[in-house]
Amino acid sequence: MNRRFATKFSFLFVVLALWQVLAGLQLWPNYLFPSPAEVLEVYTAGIADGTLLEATVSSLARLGVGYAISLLVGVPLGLIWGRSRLVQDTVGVLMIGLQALPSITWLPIALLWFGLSEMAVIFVVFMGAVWAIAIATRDGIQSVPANSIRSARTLGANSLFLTIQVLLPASLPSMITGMKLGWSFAWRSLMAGELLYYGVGLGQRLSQGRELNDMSLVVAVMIIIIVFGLIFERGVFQPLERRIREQFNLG
Amino acid sequence: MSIHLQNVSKAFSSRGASVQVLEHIELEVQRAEFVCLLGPSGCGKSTLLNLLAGFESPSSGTVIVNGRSPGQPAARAVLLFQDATLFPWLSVEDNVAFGLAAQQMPKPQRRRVAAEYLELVGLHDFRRAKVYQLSGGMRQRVALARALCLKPEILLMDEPFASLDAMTRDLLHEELQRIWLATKATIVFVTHNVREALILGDRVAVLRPRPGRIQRVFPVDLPRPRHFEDPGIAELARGVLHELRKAAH
Repeated sequence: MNRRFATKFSFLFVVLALWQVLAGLQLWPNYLFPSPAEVLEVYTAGIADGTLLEATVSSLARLGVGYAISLLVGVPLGLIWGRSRLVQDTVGVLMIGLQALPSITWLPIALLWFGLSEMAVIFVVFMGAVWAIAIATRDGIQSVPANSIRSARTLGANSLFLTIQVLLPASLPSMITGMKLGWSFAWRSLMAGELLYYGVGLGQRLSQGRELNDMSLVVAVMIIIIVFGLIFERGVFQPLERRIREQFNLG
Repeated sequence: MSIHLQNVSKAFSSRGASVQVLEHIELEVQRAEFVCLLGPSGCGKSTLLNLLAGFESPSSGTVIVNGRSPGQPAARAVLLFQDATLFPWLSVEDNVAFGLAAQQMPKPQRRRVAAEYLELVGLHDFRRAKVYQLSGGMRQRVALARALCLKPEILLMDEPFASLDAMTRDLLHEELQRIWLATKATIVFVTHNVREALILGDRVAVLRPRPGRIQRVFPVDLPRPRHFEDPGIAELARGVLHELRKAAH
């Protein structure tokens, strides 16, 4: 077992032990400060009757769909935004404005447009993630050295070849930053959307926990979100970043 | 005739003011000729190359490259930069094959051509290497192979050896002469190094700055391959330096 893993593991253990001790002191009533054992109970019950599992799966599905659409729209949008002076001076200004808008403000509109459906929440997730991805792609495109572009041109690359073989790969380091940012915005938007909108999901479990004065459920859901955050950061984004760094030898 | 510049002028406007960069440039370059453009910084040498590559258009006058207006694929001119501008996400051989891939040559075939040209510049053993593993001189040789494998009729070189150490530069001067004799491409080579211009060029055009003008053209009738230490080079350098000093005033 390597040493860093041992460090991480013991840290987790200490946090849990402190939590148990604090809960054991009974400083606060149980419904305000649940013990680790009570949270564990929520998991066993939630997995046994399937409610927690179902909530997790449907939240991740919304997140996945919304995020995928943000990538499909955000990357080409950033590409055009970075290359076209006209877009920068027109729609670009609008997009920077929209980016400042907290994505949950789209929920009322989404509910009117899509009704009480999955699409409404997915739309909010999309609006949360798409601008970060588009802006990072634009920044990446704009930082491609002029001589790299001229080099490709003088070697006979047409616009499509230039885009696929030079502009996009050169922008990858910047794009991955935007994708990470977009991912965390997507989570935030998803939770905000699910807290307000009635349906099956982690956000709805959170609001149920509040309504039932069931703090252990609230904490259980928070931990699920933290765990998925770690899984995606360590399992997807970090390896992706490392690969890109190696490819470019950025150290 | 490979290149024909007729009464070419170029002005840029910056912050409302117009700056004359090139004025009344007259230049003819024969097929397979090696011409060096020599001058201090600010004399418009790079602008002149950009005109030939089609990245800028003249404010007045005509530019004809290979019988066409510049920048068209049919002009068959490739520009090389001071920084090799290799693509770090591609291997050395894929860098060399970049232009061939743009022409949609199938992969096995372009690998073969790339290998052939890497051989020509002496880097065959590095074909699978990454760009960051190469020295500055090696990068320029890769950039040269990348241009040459398109069999261009014209090579436009913008101070390609300026950021290299003197020893590497000497080596590349020899190599470029050898490659030029083998391929018979027309080369327009921009430099601010007098010796470099005299080692490489059939003719050396001395430019004077603000606005850029061709002050005088020196023919260099010395046998090849030429070397840095050739007495003929030193002798000619004196005359060219004199002209350059005059140009600076």
